This record gives sequence, structure tokens and C-alpha cells, in this order.
Amino acid sequence: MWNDELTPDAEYLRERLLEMLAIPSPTGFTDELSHYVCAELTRLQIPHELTRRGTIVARLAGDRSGCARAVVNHLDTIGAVVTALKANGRLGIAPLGTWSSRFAEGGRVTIYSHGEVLRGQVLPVLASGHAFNEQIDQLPVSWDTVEVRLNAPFANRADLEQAGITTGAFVNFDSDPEISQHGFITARHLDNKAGASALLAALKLLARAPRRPEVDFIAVFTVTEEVGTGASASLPADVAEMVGIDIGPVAPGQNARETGVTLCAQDTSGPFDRHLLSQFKRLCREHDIDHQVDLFRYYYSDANSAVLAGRDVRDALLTFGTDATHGYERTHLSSLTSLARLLAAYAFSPQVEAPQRAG
Amino acid sequence: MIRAERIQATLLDLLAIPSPCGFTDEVVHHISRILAQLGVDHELTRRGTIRARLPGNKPSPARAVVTHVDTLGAMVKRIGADGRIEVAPIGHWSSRFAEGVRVTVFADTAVFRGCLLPKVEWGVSRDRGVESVPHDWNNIELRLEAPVYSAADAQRLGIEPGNFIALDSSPEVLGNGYITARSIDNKAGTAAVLEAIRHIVEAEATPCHDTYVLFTINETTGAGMGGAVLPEVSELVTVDFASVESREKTPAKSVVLASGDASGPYDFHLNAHLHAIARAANIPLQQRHLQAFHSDAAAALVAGHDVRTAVIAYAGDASHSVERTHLDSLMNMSELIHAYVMSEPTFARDEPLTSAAEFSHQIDTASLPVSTRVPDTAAVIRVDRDADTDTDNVE
Repeated sequence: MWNDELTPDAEYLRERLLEMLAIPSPTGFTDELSHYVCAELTRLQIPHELTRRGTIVARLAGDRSGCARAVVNHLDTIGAVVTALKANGRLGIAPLGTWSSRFAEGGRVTIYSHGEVLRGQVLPVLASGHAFNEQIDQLPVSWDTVEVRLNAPFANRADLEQAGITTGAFVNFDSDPEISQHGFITARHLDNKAGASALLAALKLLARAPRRPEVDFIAVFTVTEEVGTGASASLPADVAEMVGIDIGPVAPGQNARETGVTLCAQDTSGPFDRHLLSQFKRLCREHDIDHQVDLFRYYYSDANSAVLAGRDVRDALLTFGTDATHGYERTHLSSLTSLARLLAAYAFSPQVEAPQRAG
Repeated sequence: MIRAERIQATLLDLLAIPSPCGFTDEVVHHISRILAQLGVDHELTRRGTIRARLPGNKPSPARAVVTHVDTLGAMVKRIGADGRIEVAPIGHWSSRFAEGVRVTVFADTAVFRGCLLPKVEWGVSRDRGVESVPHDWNNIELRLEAPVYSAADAQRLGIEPGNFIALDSSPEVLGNGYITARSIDNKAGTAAVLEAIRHIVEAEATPCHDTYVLFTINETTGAGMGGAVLPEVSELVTVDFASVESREKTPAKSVVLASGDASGPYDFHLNAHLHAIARAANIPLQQRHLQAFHSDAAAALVAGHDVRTAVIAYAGDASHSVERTHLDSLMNMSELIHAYVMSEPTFARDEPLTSAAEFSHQIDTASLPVSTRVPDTAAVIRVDRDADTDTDNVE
């Protein structure tokens, strides 16, 4: 019975993921996705609150209160912002979040400006092989050498101004998801909508379970992770443990895989809490959850923002291994169901007191 | 009324007071005195951030206007055997702009004058080889205008590592409204904020909600907001300097609204609110994305305050160098601060929402464009069946 209790609804997870990928949510432009997640929490009958800027804090009451557990998952994605109305009627852009313009090239985008909502595509400033031949290969990869071609009859700066486009307009990249018959999903913005779908699946499981979590189980959906302040202000005061859900980089030299849960031991901000990591490893073993441990070299997450803002919490980071992060991302749906299963196991597990002396 | 000559006078007074980040006590005293004269309640945090309160008709949700009073500067790093002094920058600025600047050095027991110069090997004539010295703080030295020819000479005067170095502001006010000086960033903004306060006090106007005006002292090093923001503050607007005049073709008289900067985008709804206020008051407001910019507003978020943030900046040129701005831009800045303080809050209710029904939206669904996608391959390649159907129809 124990195992049935921990089996997430894979179909539910898949549907939520595809729907969330359809909602634009670059950092700073996340209101609509906050609405979607609140509607979903209402459907699951989980009480929740929204902060001023749209961070969602949902709470499932546990058998005991105090020393609550928070699972933190960000809803914002990387994207871009308009920085220049160019003389050729195209748009200069800068990244929102940290990512290479190499992966922006070819991306289809929607521009949310004060006037009309417009469609376009990101291209290098030298885009035609017939016109520029090998010069294209020598053009450096940088945000200064890409531009947005709008699918609208704009030939110059005045046209852009007339259409009400301003610098600062948000640029959302199409997610363009595809799920293969082998269970792989490839899309932009798996970071971190895949995490959000796993957390929602875990919440559905917990909300329907015949028993309550060990202590209060709080799900926090943050909105500014990609710029480093997601969990700065949103953790309730009674949170003792903070578990981040985020993307894990699968690459040569990394131990992360696209299946199972990838537990992060350390990222750029330093090591995560040793005792919490040990607890997750034990939970994976006890409940037969495929897992591996990895260290991320160029990586920050919401845990760092909470600690920087002065919160004294034990932190952990659970990830779904993904190929080509912040590029053309791909993971396997089983990593998300594994993650949901681990979260449920965590919610029901007794809270472990840290030993007095490590060893 | 907001008056240009008062902004100018306040600015020149502020420029006369050295206030590199970490050495701001005197400028804090000066501003506190101005606020006291105006009868504005204010308190000081431990390290000297000033929190002034303009009481409104309602205490919550409150708002904050933020201006920093610390500036760039330098610090004595090491005393060389020849008595020349190595320095390190305070704040983020290029040594290129340090060369030739006259400075004041604050030692524990005495104050000295000096000049920052490129370092050239002793024994080499100073008019040769100087072009090849790279711009780097390691290649800058402080020449004290005192008989110092050895480390012992410098030590005898009390010079030691850690002494603060303040740059001469050397302001020049042109008849056409341009002002050039060091440390315009952000003493000009502070002067504009003080003028807006003066205007509100003189007019005996009451904002609809409490407004806190924060004079911060750590912006230059990115930690300006520690301990400064009260929990009832729901939105926060930072006043600062933006170097956009030539590069972005921004008219000198405008105020710049930063859509975002190196810390990410500022708040969508607060920015829209500021646009509406500026339009109504006929203030020229240009939206710009400031790519290499950091502000106290961003620091407030890092410090863990859940506030909506925005940056309004007076337009200028050559920030962190020989800075220039225009009195018209400062006038418009004062007008905008005044209009903002007197406006309704961006969102009037401030309790946490327990459902999304009252939460804001950013996309008008009616405005979404429709696009055509490729049909399913399987449906298209069954040409035979489609042809049959067509034939059936004809018959």
C-alpha cells in the first residue's frame, strides 16, 4: 500500500506540463502563470496565498506544526527584453536570465509591448547565406549580433515607434514542446515548468492521500529565480527545511542523468545541507527511486536567494536531469514522476534531527 | 513650487561634502539638518541611512522613494618605498577616469591634499612611456602634496592603508542648464528629491498614503537597503543617474524609466503606473533598458523585501567619469517624484491574496496574435482518400 500511496498521476503531470509551457512567463512577466497555478491549487483544494508580486505559497497542514518543510519551485523562465528599436525596423534584445544568444538564434518569439502583440523570430544580423556566405560563420555569438525580425511591415525606427513598441518590451520564446514515443520531452523552458509539473503532481497525491504529511508541507512557486531573488522574501517564518526543485545539467563531466532524481550536493553558492541530502538519499533507497548525486559548477538557485536574504534554513536541491539546459532542453518524463514520488515520500517521512557531531 | 535655483544650490552644497561610500556621516548630518528645517520627521539607522516620513492619509500600503548619498571614491592600499601611495577604488569605476583627479585624503589625525596619477617607473622621464601604461588601478598612484619621498615620510604624516580618499567634485554650472561634476551620481538625484519634499511641505499637501524617503549610504557597493525598508512598504522607487544622453539619443531634459537593468526587469505594474503619472503631468519620460546598471531597488529585493520596484533616472552623460546632467532633467525629476508621492498607490489593497481572483493580469487575451501551423503529416499525405472524397463531392 505504501508504494501505491507514492505513485504520482503521470497523465496529470504531462497535461499540466504542456499547458504551462503554453503560458509565457519570462522573469517579470509571470502574472498569467501565477493565475494558472492558483487555479490548479484551487481545483486540488489546497489553501494558498499570493504575495504582492505573485509568488504563491500553498500549505498542506501536517500532523505537527512548526519546523515546516518548504518545497520551492520557480515559475519564471529565461527570455529577453527589447533594448533597441533599430533603423532597419528590427529589434535589438538583451537576455532575461543568463543564457547564450547562440540558443536564441532561430527562436520564434512573441513581443509584448504597449501596442499590438507581435510575432517575430530571432536571427543573427547576417542571416542570409546567399548574401553573406562565409562571413556568417565569422560573426561572433553575442546578444549584440542578433536581432528580432518582426512579422509585420516595419521598415524603419519610425514604424516601430508608431506601432507602440518601446525598449523594455518583454520577449517570450516559443516553447515548442515535443514528446517522443520513448517518453523524452524536448522544449524550451523545461526550466522550470517541468519542476512545477512534478510539484503539482506531488501536491495532488498528497491532497488525496488518506493521511497528512508529517509536518506542514509548503509549496512555494516563485517568480524571479532567473535573476537571483526568487526566494528572498517568500519563505514563511516557520520554515526549517527548504527543498528546491530545479533543472539539473546533463553534460560530459556531469553525473546527472535524464532519468531518476539528480540530487545536487553543491552548486556555485556552496554545499547544500549535508543532513538533508543524506535524508533524501535514504528516502530514494527505501522507496526504490532511481537517483544520482551531482555537483553543478555554474549554477545558482532559489536556495541561494533565501540564504542571502538572511534565512537560516537547511537547504537541499532536487533536480530532473536535462540535456542542453538554457538551450534546447530535453528530459525524460520518468525523471519528473520520480521527483514527484520522492517529494511525497519526503512529506510523509519523519523529520530527522541532525546529529550533534557530523560523522 | 519646484524651483531650479534651489535644486542647483542644494546640489552644490552636497557636492562640497565628501561622501565616498563608507565615509558618509557628514553628508548624513547635512541632509538631516535640511529635513529638520523643513519639519520632516526622520530617523537614522545604526550606520546612517535616513528614513524620513511624509505622513499620508493612510499608513498602509506605504511607499518609499530612495536616493543614495554615497559616491565613488578610493582608499589607500599600500605605501611604496618611494612614498608614492597605491590606491584601490571604492565602487565600480575605471582608473582611466581617476587620472588627474585632485583628492582629499582623510588620515586619522590630519587631512591631506593630493592627486591621482599614472604610475611611471622612477628614473624614466614622465613624458615618455606614459602612453604604454595600461589603464588599471595597479598603475595608479597617489601623489601627496606634501614633502613625502619615502615610506617613512608618509608614515610620519599618519598615512596608512584604509585611509579614505574623496575626489574633488569640481562642479561647473553652465548658463544653458548643463552641470558637469564628479559625483553628480547621485547628489543631483538627492537634490531633486529634497526639492520635491520642500515643495510638498510648502504646499502643506498630504499624500494619500504614508511615504518614506530613504537616503541610503551603501548603493555604490550594492548593499544600500539593509534594514531600511519597513514591512508596510509595498512599492519602492529609486532615484538615480543614467548615462543615456548620447548613446540612446535621449533628450537632456527627460527623465528615464528603467524597464530593467543587470538585475533583471523592474515591476511591470509600477512602471505602467509611473508612465501614467508622467503622461498626466506632462513630464517627458523615456523608457530605457539600462544594461550595465545596478540600483538600490535591486538591493531591496536581494535583502528579502517583497516590494514592487522601479528606477527613475535623470538623463546624463559619462556616468562614473566626468559626469554631466541638465537642470531641466532634475526639474522634471522633482516634478515626477512629487506627482508620484501624491498619486494613489499602484495597488490599493495590500493583504496577501488568498485567491488569484483579484490578482493582476499582464496579457489581454484579445490581443494575442493568431498564427498558422503546419498540419499533421499523416493527415496530408493520404492524398488518395482526399481525392476520392473530392470526386464524391463532385458527383
